[in-house]
Amino acid sequence: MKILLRKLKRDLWQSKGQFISVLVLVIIGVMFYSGINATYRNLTETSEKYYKDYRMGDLWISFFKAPESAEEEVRALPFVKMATGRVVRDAKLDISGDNAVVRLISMPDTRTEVVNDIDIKSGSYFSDAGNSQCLVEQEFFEANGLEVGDCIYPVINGVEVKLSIAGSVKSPEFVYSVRDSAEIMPDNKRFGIVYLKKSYEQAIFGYEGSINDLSVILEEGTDIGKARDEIRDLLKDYTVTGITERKDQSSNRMLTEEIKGLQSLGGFFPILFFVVAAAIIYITMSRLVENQRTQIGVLKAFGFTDMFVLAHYLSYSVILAVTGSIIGSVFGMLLGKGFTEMENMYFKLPPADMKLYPELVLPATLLTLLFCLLAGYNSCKRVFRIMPSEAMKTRAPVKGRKILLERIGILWRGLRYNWKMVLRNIFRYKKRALLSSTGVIFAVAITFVSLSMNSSVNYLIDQQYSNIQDYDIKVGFSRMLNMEELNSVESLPYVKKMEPVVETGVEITNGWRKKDIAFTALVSKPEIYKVVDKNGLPVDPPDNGILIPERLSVELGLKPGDMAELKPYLPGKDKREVRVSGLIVQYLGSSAYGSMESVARIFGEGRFANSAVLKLDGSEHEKEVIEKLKKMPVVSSVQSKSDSKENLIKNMDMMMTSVLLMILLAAVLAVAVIYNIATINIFERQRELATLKVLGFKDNEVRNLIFNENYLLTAFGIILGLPLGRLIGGYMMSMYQTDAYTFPFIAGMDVYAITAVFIICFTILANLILRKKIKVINMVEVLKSNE
Amino acid sequence: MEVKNVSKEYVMGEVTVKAAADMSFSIEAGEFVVILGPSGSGKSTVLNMVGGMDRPTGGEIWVEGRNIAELSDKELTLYRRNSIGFVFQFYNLMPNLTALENVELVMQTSEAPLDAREVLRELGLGERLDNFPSQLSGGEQQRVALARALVKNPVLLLCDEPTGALDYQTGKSILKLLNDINKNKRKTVVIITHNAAIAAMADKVIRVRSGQVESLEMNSDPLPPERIEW
Repeated sequence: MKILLRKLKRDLWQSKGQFISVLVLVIIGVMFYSGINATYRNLTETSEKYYKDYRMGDLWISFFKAPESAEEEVRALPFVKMATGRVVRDAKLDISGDNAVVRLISMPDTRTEVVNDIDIKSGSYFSDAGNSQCLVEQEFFEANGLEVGDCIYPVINGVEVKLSIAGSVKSPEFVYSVRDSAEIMPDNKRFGIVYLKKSYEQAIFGYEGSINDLSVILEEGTDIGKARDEIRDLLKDYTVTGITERKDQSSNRMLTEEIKGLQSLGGFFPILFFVVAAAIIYITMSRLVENQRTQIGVLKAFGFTDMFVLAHYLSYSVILAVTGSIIGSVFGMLLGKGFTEMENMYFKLPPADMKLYPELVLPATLLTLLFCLLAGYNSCKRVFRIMPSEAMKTRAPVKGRKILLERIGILWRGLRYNWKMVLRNIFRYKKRALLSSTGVIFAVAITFVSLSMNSSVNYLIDQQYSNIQDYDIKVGFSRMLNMEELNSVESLPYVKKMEPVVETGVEITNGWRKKDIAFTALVSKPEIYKVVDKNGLPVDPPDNGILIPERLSVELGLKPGDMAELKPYLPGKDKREVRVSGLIVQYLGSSAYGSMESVARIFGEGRFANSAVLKLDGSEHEKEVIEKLKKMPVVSSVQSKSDSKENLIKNMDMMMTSVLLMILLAAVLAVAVIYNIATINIFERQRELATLKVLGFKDNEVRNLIFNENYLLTAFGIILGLPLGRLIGGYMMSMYQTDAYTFPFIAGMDVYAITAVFIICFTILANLILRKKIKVINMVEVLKSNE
Repeated sequence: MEVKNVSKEYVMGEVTVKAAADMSFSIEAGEFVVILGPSGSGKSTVLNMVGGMDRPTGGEIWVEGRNIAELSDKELTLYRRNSIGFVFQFYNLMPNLTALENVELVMQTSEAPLDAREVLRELGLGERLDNFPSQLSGGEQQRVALARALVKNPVLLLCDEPTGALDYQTGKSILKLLNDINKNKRKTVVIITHNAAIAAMADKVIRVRSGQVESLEMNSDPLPPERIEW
């Protein structure tokens, strides 16, 4: 027994390069399994606890204005567990030399339990000392270097209001704090949440005794759709402008989507590595058993049982699986910690609850063992067939065979001998070639997917910020402006062009399907704020009808030419029938589009706008214009396009890192598989290679015999891997599609070409490592007899 | 060809093994030479060095006016490629190539090769051109190997136990072929063997023992291979 272990140890040592390369694959598989799963668990458990502890709402109802008694009415409903009325308004704020928007949310004057409660991070809750106290959301607080006791001056109804900071807070409502669902990345410097005493916020906005937001927690087991409709009925007198379920709430949705993504990645990605590791183990073990058939015969002749011999060879797999799982789990825990921290850069969950999950080691080990043993058993089961008498026989010589390709005479005759040998060898070991191609195919697919994601995001940024939004500044007004008032904005110095915009919320209905979306009205021939089709070509907003994004048309079952009902969130407006006149592509946000003319027709209003986009003479005057705009009392928000673009690009750094990481993993996969297959190939063909050396073939001619085989397998892998990558990439991008944004899937010829170049480089790298193995083949090999 | 005071030492860890010590002999063009010795005598070492697979530790080996003991790895490769025709005990054919392709393979690397089909036909393999080695008998495989060595028209045919893996009759037929090649084509043939019977057909017999040349004798009346027996 001990002696056999010693034999195993020496067998391992002889093929240490192969052992290590498979081990690396197993380690990576386990590492990602435990790392991603730990992150998944961390995010799930922490957010669930956080939601529970701080009473995250199930429904958000917003109105123009409702009496505080609405809160009581809702609370009286049998399925409502808790309801809190609030005043929620956005305001401009100059901070850190930049213009930000803060969402002012009311909180009880003295602390009581409310829906969407806050967790105080520093300072304390409101005191009796004065009305103008505020609590600032932690990320905004930190990003702007604020301190407890500092003052901020948001502009409310055109007047700067001084607020002193009593403390910094976190809320489950804003773990991912974006202004609206059309924004992908949080910009903590320019958007934040500020909580005010309820009485004070009501006073400054003229909401005495009124609220405009109601957050509700439902009793467990309530049908949310029914609850939603009942509440809407109950509150119909107060012009409900929107009801949001928790699943659509922007912070929660980003979080659940990320968790969902992690879950599928944590299952899919490690399996990829296990499959390739299993393929290599299968090939390696088959070769080992084949080469040691004499030894196996001898062992059996001496009375060792089949099971014993099998167990001996399987221990190779077991050692791989166990070593790989242990090392992988250790790294996986670190990776899990790193991933969680990285995720938490975006989702600000309480970090104290982040854990390591040692219990993931067991499932990881079992999963690895399963793959390794399956591969090992399948390759070793032939020991049962090897009879002791085989120990005496010499092995049957390797057979040469003609391959199918040779039927195509012209093609075959044109080949040089080294290529003929390469091709015949590949076809002789078809299974081996196919298995090793699997590794290359996966590597190609991974590389392709990561490169195409990068190119898709770049396309999106380019489309969104150059083609669609060709303006420099977007201004929001606190009320509807008529054309004369808009002229005062257009006549500001350095403004080259202005286009008025109407933005409002609508409910769009087609039969039983309905959806809350935005409605955007643009000028008839927009130049600086465009709507585009899927080829990026501009579509003019129709005067009589609306354009809707493709994904909305799928969701609502609306085709161009169909009629839909629109109900605007404007006081006193009724449902109108409108024709869907075309489909567009909208990357960020979800909105129906029409012309200014259509607003008049659909909503029966004259020409007005509550927003405008501006193009300047040059970007150097941007700051100046923004300053001027902010001084206008009617302006409620000013958004600079370059700021939002910069914020998005800044956050894309992380994506670049993950693209590089993925390519690195693909490299490991490709190199490991090629190295292994070629090592076996070299080992088995030592004699051939040595003969060629003796016959005077130059080193590179001998090498090419092996390397060309690798290149051929690589080419095969590229041909199959690229379409696979396209498939996976397209699928992943469609997974990322939500109500709030669409990712285009863009993979131009450059992505295909760069992927191929990368994979060829990996093969060259593997070949470089293999050079030495061929160099050291001893010519004296030719003088030896066949074993 | 002249071998002058050649010695070869292998350093294996702390032990130095002397495989050849002060060996000297010469081989004239067109001669049929047998290098005879038991296993471990140093005859393989001679083969390695004369064949350009290895360099001696000391001494000189002159072939066609060049001391091959001083050639670089690259030059040795070219020497093996252009000057030497090898025949091995176990044939060492490429299992993946047919008889014809095995011969054509080395033509690729040769400066002035003969016609492959012609050579194979002369060796009686005209019907077996498209067979793979596994479909050929031992004798046929050895004849393919011989064709492979001849096709590049080498200066020297170096044969390592060419009959070692063959039965008696087949072995003799290979020896006959080698003898014909020597006599009709005036090719220098060197056979390295432990089989003393083969010595009878040589023009020159070099006996090797313990890494040294034990004796060197000329045979004025070599026997035709048909009459050799062992």
